[in-house]
Amino acid sequence: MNDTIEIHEFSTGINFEILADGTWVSKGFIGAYMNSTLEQIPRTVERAIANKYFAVAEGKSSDSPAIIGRVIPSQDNYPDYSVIALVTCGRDEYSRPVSLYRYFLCEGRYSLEVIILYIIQLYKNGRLPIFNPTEKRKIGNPINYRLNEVFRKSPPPYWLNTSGDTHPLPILIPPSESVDVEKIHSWAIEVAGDQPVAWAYNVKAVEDIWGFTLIHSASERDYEDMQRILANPPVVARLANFDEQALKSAIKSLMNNSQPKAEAVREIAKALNNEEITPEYWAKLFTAEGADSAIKDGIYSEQMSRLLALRALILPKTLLQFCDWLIVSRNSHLIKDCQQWQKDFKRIFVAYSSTEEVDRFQYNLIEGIKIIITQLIGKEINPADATDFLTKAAVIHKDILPEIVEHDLELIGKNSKNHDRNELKGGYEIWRDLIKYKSHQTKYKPLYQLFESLKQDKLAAYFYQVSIGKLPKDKFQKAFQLKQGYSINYCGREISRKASLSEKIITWLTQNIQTILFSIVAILLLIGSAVIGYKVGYNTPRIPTSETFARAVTNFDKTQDAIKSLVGDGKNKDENFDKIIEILDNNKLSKEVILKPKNTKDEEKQQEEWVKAIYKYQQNQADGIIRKDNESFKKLREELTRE
Amino acid sequence: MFNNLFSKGKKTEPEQMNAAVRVIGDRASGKTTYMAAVARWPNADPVNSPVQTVTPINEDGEQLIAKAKNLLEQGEQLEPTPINVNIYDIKDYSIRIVLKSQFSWRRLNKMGNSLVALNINCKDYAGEFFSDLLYQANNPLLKDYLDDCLQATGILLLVDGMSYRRDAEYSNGLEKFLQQLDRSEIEVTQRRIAVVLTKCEQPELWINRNQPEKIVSARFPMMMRNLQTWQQTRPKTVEYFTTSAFGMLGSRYPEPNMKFISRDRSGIKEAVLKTPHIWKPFGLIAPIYWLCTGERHKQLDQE
Repeated sequence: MNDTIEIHEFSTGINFEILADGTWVSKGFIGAYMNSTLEQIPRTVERAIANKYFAVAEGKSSDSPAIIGRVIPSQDNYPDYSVIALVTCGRDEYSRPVSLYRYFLCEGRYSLEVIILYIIQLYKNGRLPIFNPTEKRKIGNPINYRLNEVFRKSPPPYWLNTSGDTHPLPILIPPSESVDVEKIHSWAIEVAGDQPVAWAYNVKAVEDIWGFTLIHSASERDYEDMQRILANPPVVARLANFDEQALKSAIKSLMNNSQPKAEAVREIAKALNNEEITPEYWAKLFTAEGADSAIKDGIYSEQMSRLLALRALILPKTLLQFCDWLIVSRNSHLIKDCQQWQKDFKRIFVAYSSTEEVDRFQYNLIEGIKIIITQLIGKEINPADATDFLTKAAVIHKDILPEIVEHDLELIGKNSKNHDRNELKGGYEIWRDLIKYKSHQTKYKPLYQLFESLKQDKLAAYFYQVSIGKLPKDKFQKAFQLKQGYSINYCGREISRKASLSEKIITWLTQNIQTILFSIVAILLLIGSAVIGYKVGYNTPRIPTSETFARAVTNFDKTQDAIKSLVGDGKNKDENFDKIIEILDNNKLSKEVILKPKNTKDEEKQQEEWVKAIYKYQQNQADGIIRKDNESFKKLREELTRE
Repeated sequence: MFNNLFSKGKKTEPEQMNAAVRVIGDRASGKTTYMAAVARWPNADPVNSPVQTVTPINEDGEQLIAKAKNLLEQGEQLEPTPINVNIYDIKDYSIRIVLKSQFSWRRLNKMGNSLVALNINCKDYAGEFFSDLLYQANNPLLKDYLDDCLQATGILLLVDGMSYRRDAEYSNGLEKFLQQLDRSEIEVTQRRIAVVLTKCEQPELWINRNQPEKIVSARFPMMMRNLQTWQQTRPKTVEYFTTSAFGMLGSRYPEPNMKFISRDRSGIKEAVLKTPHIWKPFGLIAPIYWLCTGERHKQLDQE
């Protein structure tokens, strides 16, 4: 019972002036705590104060002290602390009300009772330890409180649900209930169960109303006011023991600085890796800074561009909204600044974060990319818009887009159907048709258009092949830097190109070279034989010279006689005539011109036909005349008989 | 008629002007009250006023309106703004002010838009920054504050019009501020400083409210000289304004819509709104318009 326990204290830091009547007035804040027995306020406690866990609402402090007790759980090598704040209202020299805090702190989870006993002891001595700048304290000189009595626990009243069932917190103590600090603490312990206890006694209004177990209002009116607030719980619940203020400050810092500060980026990285912080929670924080208003009202300020860019990096589902917003701003200065800001943010994030945090960040970037691709192949956005989004707004997404897509295409190419779907960075849904079907998939044409705009020639070639077919020569050569060849394997798929017209001719020629050569030889042979044939008069239809021709016509009567003697006068005369005409191979030959004794001028042409036919028939010493018993006569007679 | 002619076929979205503002000034110079009055924009007169709407963009802006409703309109004073150890814990009021357009030669080509929107991010510094911190060269907090100031495109220097006895003090503070800003800044940025005389509901100020430069030169000659020196190398970066967050009551025989009350035995009296339901501040938007555009708005100067 005679144990001594150290109780530390510290107070709001002010400059003050003691007035003639002994009272004092504040002359402004000093930006640090005063009358502290601690060299350094434990960080966990400091952050709890920064998060307004002990704060009464502005204008709601009074001369009658509000008392707030809390356990600050252990964290980052800091032990549990029990802290009680007494809040009173002072005045400054301009007579403005100032909420002033005096904090008592004790190590340990169950030390609130010690502080309460100490306060009660002082109260009994007529000296309630409220804020008093004149009560000097020295660092390293805590109160060594000797425990003389035991904390008397009060049983909870019948109306207080302590059965462990879920009940909404905080519970407001009805104004009719007679309560003191000992009671509220005893009851709060019962209600809190295993959770850190937090109660507020004699308060008009508190800043962190959802963070308490039990609240005792200063008056009936305050009770009603708080009841009204509690009737509308926030959509996104408060996170216990999370330093929300630090995260809020980080977001504000990032919004307000053209160059992201490393501390702020660190805070974002930590929160991003904290699974307790849900997308809804993040969304609440961004909305609080005006993200929704910026979109709705089209507020195109630098602060908002950074806020929306950050939101898109944390909440990928908002990426397209951000892209659209930034592009619609049509403010090239804003767009350029925002691009640089995102690049700087990423650089600092990667430099100062753990591998796990960087992976989480990368995951979000990929999620953003997936959204753009899905919308693009789903035709919800067109390739021109997607290009704009990536080149003007989502610039750090653009930087990793080729690498992500190539990774997946290679995976698909290696093992087209049997790979693990989870290994696909872009996810199975996007590539499903590419995996399932080998045929052309026109749905991927927008990806060809996108990558062509982004000057990602290989990927553009890949999706051209997938969605359209063989590539034109120039596209193929540009993509793969090849001067020769018609196909290449890229990411496990054969990418081939069409041949140009000149190449088609050359190819045809190459493929048909034997035929061509054969034909050429044959033609040459033909020409050669013709030339030779002409020279030897062989097999060549010969034409008589005009002189020979004239002589043959003059001697046509001899031919008449010879033919007549060959056909004879018998019954075979016509038949023989026909046979001779057939042998002479000229159906224009007239029988009459042979049979007529006297030839007229008109018949000259017919005689000439006979001369030409005979000349052609005669193989040696051709003269166009058939005389009885010359070689031609004999040959003709022989053929006629043979026939 | 001409306006209709010009605006034919043009988009109806308001033309936008943005400003990142820091409100500085001595303790109790009326910084938070000024901001709360801007955000609340009480008893608006959308027919005759050039101001169409004033809306909060972020949560801090909404809380500021709540403060105006719950405290100022209830006849209470606001608490002094604490000096935050973390500069980013400072409230950053984001507010959108939509104005009906006024004729401007400079913006002639943009006359198609019938509205002008002023989007401001406004940080309300604790008065201790101006009264104390600026003199503590070795305090790391000063560097944080100055770094933050460098991000601003406009400074609202609020000066209690009745505190002329502190001209030398303000002049010193201002000189320190401008020196520190100069030292911190790598590149000189065009940053406008609006000197705003507050509490001009006081009769001696009210009668000259349309001549702000004259009042400043008469009441704060030392501070004025500092500003003139600053302006020599940076033309058109300083302008003077008069405001009253509480405004006046009546038009024929106007009297301040403000009363002094004494809550304790110290004898110190605090100034609160006298008749909240006809609360009509004066001159609040004019300095913001100038910080955003670099032009004075004749109507807002009279409003």
